[in-house]
Amino acid sequence: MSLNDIFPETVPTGYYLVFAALLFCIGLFGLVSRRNAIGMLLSIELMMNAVNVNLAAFSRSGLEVGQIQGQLLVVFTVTVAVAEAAVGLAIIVAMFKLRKTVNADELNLLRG
Amino acid sequence: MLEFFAQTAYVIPALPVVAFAVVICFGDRAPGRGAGLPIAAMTVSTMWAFGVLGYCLTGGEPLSYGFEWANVGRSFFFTITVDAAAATMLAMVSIVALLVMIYSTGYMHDDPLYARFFAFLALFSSSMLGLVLSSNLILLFMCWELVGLMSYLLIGFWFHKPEAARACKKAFLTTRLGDVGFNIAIIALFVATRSLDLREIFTKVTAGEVAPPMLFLISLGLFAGAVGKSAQFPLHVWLPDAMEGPTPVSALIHAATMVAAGVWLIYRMQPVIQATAGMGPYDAMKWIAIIGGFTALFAATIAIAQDDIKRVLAYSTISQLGYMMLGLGVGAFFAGFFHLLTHAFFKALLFLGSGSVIIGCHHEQDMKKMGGLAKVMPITFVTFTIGTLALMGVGVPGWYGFSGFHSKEMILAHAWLESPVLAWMGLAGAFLTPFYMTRLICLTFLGKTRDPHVAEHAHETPANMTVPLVILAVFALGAGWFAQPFEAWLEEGYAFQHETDPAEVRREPKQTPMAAGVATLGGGEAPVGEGADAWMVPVAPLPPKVHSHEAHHAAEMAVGWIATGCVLAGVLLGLLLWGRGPDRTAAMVKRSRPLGLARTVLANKYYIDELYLFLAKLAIEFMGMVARFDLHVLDRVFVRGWAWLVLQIKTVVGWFDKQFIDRILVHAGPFAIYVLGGVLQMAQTGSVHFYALVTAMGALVLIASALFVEGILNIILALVVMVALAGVVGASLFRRQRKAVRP
Repeated sequence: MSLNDIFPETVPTGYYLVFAALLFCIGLFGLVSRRNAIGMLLSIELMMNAVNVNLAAFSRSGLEVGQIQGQLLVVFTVTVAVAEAAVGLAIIVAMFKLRKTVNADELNLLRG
Repeated sequence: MLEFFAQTAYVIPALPVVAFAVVICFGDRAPGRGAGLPIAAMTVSTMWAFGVLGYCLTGGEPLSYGFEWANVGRSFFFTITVDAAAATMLAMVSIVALLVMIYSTGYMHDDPLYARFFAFLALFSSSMLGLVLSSNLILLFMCWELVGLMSYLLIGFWFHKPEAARACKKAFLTTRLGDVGFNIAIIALFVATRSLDLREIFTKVTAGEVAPPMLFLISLGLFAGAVGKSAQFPLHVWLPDAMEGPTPVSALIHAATMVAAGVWLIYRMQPVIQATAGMGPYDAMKWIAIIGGFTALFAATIAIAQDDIKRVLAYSTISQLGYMMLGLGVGAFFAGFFHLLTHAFFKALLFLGSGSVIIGCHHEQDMKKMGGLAKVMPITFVTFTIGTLALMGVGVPGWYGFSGFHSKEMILAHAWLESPVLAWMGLAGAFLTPFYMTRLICLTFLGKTRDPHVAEHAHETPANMTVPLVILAVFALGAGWFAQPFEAWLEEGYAFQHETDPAEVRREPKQTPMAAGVATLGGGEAPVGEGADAWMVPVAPLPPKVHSHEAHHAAEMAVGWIATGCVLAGVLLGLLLWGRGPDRTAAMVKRSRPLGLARTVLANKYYIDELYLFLAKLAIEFMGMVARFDLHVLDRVFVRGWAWLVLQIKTVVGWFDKQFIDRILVHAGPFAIYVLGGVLQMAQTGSVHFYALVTAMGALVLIASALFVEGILNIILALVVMVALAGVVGASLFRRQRKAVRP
């Protein structure tokens, strides 16, 4: 049995794109509306994964069979996202130690 | 009907994974406080595995199937293979896992993380089942690592105990050390054969398309992985510490899953390992046999001086794994594999029995405080004794023996034919095993109770713990009888039959283009197996050595009788020393200096942990030295010297800078920026949300403007809109906040 037997029909690329757009918007909404820095970080992950879905979808609908640059880029992005999350969380932890809060509204040190 | 099970063998590892996923999500709210689903899944898996076994037993052809996993110019497949050996392992692993799970419902009954424990057990068993099925190095390696991860999680299951936390880290890192070798072997195999599929690899290797030095590297790499996982000599240190995990986990690790993986790997890669036989300096088999034989003897000596009941068993496992490796190394692949199976049953039995003892004595593991438990725990005592007799290898050659006897005798007979030194190592181990096991039985079950506190509460464990013991005891009693038909059947149902008969392959070097090029470069015929070119020159492997039936039978009888003598001697000596309790022997050891010294060395496991710690400290020391050298020498000479030079240059350039550049060029810019900054400051609200909003709006404008304006213009447009937007919104925000701060 192969994967194609389980999923015989190819899902049209448009579906993936609409799904990714929705995911992106959810992430964006979360980013703008969440006050908690950790929540904001999660939202950014969501947006990044929406982009990943796009990459994978385009890679799948690519012209040649075996063209997997898109998929490779996804793997790359995921790796970068992990690093980003690690750094982001470390910053949040450091910030919490310093300011005793992770509320983004109160963290306006950079105000001009 | 049976074919259906074989064609859907992937269900066997899949079901426990599903159970794992559900239980991890729902925890205690899952059926049976989380234990129901894993046990149900494991029961179905076990029945399924027995269906597969039935298919292979009724003469079914080996099956291979899979799907394409990735296509990167070339395809990589996830393939699984069902053959006689795999089916046997499936049945063994699943039934031991099932029994351990049932037993755990008793052992872990009061644990607050009950559900998580069962979820972990399910994934642990399933990864081992997947490892057994996979006939492809990628899938195999994934399962291999998953087994390692799960053993890490389970050994450290009581992570609040610092020893457990340390032990699981140690297990993970030690096995990882071996995995580096495994990784190298996989990469080397891919380089040499351009494939990761076992069948293709074996075909190419047996056809003599890989050079012996390369094969040697591959085999040693594979063996390094097995040394880590199966706790062979230099990397054995993690297994005794793994005793910090709950006892059912120890039983699973020692019998069915973790340590079996290494032996299984070597058994599965048999054609590759076998191809190095008789290749002079590139003979990897020799090393496997030597390490195995040494470990068998070495671990047995340590077991004598351990007081923790589980630690004695742990060292006996290392010793028995040494026997398996010895068997594989001397070419007795079947014998090694058979010992893995018999050992799985009796070692699971012994561990579950020891768990029963520990629970019965209220989590007391020190044998010195036990004694006289035979009366209060009769079922545990009888089953434990059966397991012990199987582990000792008690039997009469040619007539009857407990399961361990048959497999051990076969290994020793092969070793005898190969090299008497190896056989004597094994025989010495066969003497020490009954010796320390007799000590264990005497201290735990016989004699009088020594610690009134422990004895007071000692009781037999409930049925869900004793029933698995009885079932396992039946296997330990009878499994040895099936050695002969089993061997024939395994050979018949082997999935990777050689396409080419090794005996027919020419013993001359194949003229691959690379080898030919090397030959012309060297100005003549390429030398076989010598010099730097040896890496390139493939040589056909020798056909496996076959001893005559008579010689083999004679060796089996001879070694069998010697082994029986060793066992008897071991038991008698053990009874003599510890039959009447530990006090007299302890006094004797105290009186005699050499004995006391030996006991100290053995009790401290030859100080190998300390040696490793010392080496690690040495390495850190060395790094510290390098750091100091960097700080004091390199920094002073180069960094500061350079800085001094730059300072001199600076004085000159600085003067020029101040007089000309600053006055004319620099001061004009800042003024303009100062003015602009005053405006833009409004947008600098410091609110992350505001920034995110502006960015998103800008992106929206950019996309919208792309509909109307072409080229670079739309970017400029978008930037302008964005800045304007930021300014307006920011300014209003800014003002509002200022007001809020200063009313």
